[in-house]
Amino acid sequence: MNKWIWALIVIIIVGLGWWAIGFSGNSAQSGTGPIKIGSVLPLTGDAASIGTIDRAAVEIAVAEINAAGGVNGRQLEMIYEDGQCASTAASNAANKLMNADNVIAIIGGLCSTETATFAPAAMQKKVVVISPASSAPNLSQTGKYFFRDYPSDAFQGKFAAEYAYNTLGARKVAVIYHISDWGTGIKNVFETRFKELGGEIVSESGEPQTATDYRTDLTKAKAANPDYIYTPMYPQGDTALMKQASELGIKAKILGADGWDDPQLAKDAKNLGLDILYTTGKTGTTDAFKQKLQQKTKSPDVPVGAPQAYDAVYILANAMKSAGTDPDKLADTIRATKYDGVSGHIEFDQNGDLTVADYVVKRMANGTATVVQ
Amino acid sequence: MDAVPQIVLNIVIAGGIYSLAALGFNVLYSTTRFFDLGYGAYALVGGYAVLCLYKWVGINLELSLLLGVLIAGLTGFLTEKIVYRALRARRASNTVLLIASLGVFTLGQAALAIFFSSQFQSLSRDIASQRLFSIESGVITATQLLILTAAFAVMGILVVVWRYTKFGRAVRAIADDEEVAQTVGIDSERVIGAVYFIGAAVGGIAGIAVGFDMGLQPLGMTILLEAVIAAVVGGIGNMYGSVLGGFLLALVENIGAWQFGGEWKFAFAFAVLILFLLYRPQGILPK
Amino acid sequence: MDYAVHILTMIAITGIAAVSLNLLIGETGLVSVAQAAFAGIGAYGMTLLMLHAGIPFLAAALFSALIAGAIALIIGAIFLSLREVYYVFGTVGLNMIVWAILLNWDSLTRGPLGIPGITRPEVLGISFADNTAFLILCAVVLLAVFAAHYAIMKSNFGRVLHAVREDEEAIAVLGYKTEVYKIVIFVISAALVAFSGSLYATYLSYINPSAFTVNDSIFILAIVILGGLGSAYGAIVGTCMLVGAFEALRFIGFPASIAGDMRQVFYGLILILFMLYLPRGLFGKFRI
Repeated sequence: MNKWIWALIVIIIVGLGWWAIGFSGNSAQSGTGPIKIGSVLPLTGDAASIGTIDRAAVEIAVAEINAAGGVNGRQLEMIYEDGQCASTAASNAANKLMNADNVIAIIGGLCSTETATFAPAAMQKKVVVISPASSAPNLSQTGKYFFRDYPSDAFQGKFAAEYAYNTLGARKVAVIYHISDWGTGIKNVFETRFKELGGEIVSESGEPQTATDYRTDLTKAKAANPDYIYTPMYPQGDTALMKQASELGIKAKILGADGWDDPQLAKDAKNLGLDILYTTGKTGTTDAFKQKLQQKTKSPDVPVGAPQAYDAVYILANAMKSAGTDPDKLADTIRATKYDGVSGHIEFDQNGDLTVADYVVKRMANGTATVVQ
Repeated sequence: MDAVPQIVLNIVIAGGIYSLAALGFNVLYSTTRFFDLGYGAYALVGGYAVLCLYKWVGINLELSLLLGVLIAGLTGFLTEKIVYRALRARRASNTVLLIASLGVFTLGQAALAIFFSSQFQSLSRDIASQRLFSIESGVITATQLLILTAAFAVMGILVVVWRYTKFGRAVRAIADDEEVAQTVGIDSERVIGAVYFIGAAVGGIAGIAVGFDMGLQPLGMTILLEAVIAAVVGGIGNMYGSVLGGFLLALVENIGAWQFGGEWKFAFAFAVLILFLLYRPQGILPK
Repeated sequence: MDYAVHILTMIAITGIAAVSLNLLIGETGLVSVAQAAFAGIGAYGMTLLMLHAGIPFLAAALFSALIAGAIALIIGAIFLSLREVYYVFGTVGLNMIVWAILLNWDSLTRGPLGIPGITRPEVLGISFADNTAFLILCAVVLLAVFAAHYAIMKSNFGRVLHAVREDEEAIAVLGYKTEVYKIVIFVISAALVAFSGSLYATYLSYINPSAFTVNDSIFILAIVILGGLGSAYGAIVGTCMLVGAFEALRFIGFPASIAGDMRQVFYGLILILFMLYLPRGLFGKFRI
């Protein structure tokens, strides 16, 4: 009988705790004091190697803005929560930010999984969401308060297919991709478009993001004798893939996606003597930002989402300077933004997507990547 | 069929790593007869210890490797003393031990993630410093060859120790019946402790191998499950079985990947496990 | 308040899964690590029926629970020969395979892109788009599942399950077909957790294979161990604690970068410490 009473007491205490949090949260966001913004990124789990660096990018932006006086004299308070690149975690994280911390806006998620999970609730609650890396095409239909400064897969896959067919003259392509909302998304669009144009997908093989053994995928691709191997993959996988491709003596050339836009990869490619092309956003990341990021994280990686996250914070801060914290005014102001950031020129269309999803193709040669087109 | 030699080599390369992993796991099983999922943590500890010593502290490679393996072994030894011994003393069922070992794995992995961050880290410095060996139309690197050699060497050493030394006999005696072994004068606690040290150390070697060949992340589930499947399929309790299982698993995974794409690799591995659990739970080779 | 409503909803949904798992582990002694797989089958089944066939929520959820039950029937029969640890491994394999199918069978499930746009249910004319209303719906379902658990365990059927737990051979000798009982409880448990999957899908309006991994199954296992074997009440308390307390950790001040890992540390500790010192869990009647 004792235990039951204990348990009841614990539940009541926890319940009261929630109640208290619920009330304390509501008092925030008055006219003065710091402005609370939330961030949902994968800080642990499979995508953590990207999420932790993107978080650093956000931290840099927030620190810079606050050092320059904040937004209309108010400091930015960024509250970070872990989305773990998984639905349940992202939902809990976003809920805490929106309902307990009462954030004005959320920078995140990284994975489309995260964003797709909490964005609908954010729209209902009128919380502005700017995602720095979620690329699933259907996010375009999310809602009025949703923006992303990273283009939908629908664009990159199509661009790559057309470039491969028309410019590179490829007719047979083997595909090796990472199974994730981003990789699978691009792969689907690429294959559809490439086949539409008349090309043939001679082999297709997917691996999880954390996989390190691509030998059989490569062997399979090699055996199908493709003109090109299309590889929408993340940087770590790219490193392993390159290494193994060169070990296996793959002669076919590689066409990657923007996951290949990483300075370390260019250096590694030089050592391996591989010919690699990849598609990426038109104006790539500025060197100054890359250095800032590398200094802070002590890591050479500049993954997808980092420059975009940095820009997202600035776009939000700038919009708040004129529109304040009212969600509707904020959304309208952001939509009207024209911003030149470290990830390129940013303008939004009525869905919150980038209007300029211009891509270029870069070639990795001599330790750096240079634009080809 | 130009690709066949390479596929075979791919299988051999993967099999080498899986065999090493399975061997360590099998060693842990040999006295106490339960599946210690903490093995996943010991393997990670090995890899991360080397990272710490070699890249951060700057100790030379050979010494770092040795210390890394020893530290991994120590982790297994301590876990046995602190967690499993008490459970075994009160005759806890294998399922209880399994769940406790799951706790060890979860805890160990998370602790490493906190300490070393979840970022992907590479053990080897240079990316293209490998010597390549060509076999027919296939290629294998020096590191991979080394791993393969290590797998067979470890297997050989373990077989010799288990079969021909007094220690090995003590291990088998304890496996058969711990109480009887004690009455004959075998200090079962010391032997079991030593066995855990050895098994975890082999796990450490596997973790280091993966770290060099592919890279380190605080995600040990994959290597753990590969070890379990390979050990069970090949024949749990049999050293040769672990190696056989390792190569067999690599074979199934790569053929599956070849036919259906890499995304189904894991599903195939587990389908094979379930088939064996149903029809031949003792594995291919007998104890 | 909204936050509390959200957490309580997650507790209710997870609680259904925990109570259903208790039927398997607590009452019958079948240690299954596959609840998340059946939740996934329920979630995807309901979603596909609702979105592609226009079937309203309740019917779709019930039907997908039936599908999950049918699959459980087949799997339960196949796994009959597995004992103890091998059974556990079998269920892990099952979860992995189901997850791989959800992830890779693009054309049906859209793979990692998941399925968005799942609307809230309208049952008997009442719309549950409001979060508080939805919480009440979940609480009602949880209560119903709790009642079902109670009813099962009080019946003859339940007594046989307990006997299977304690000594399967003995009761088989007495003429009871233990295989049938084991399969039936496996089916019931799968159907219940599948229903919780449907609630989950309609609550978040989006599903994705990431919610149905082996790790999620292990989480529910930890809840049942914490709450205690053989107690539905314990399962619910365990859910409150693990879900609620973990959320509370956010406010303690661990930096977010390690909060996720700290939770894993705690829950690894729970597994170890409970096995060592409290194998009966908090309210359990049995130990594993």
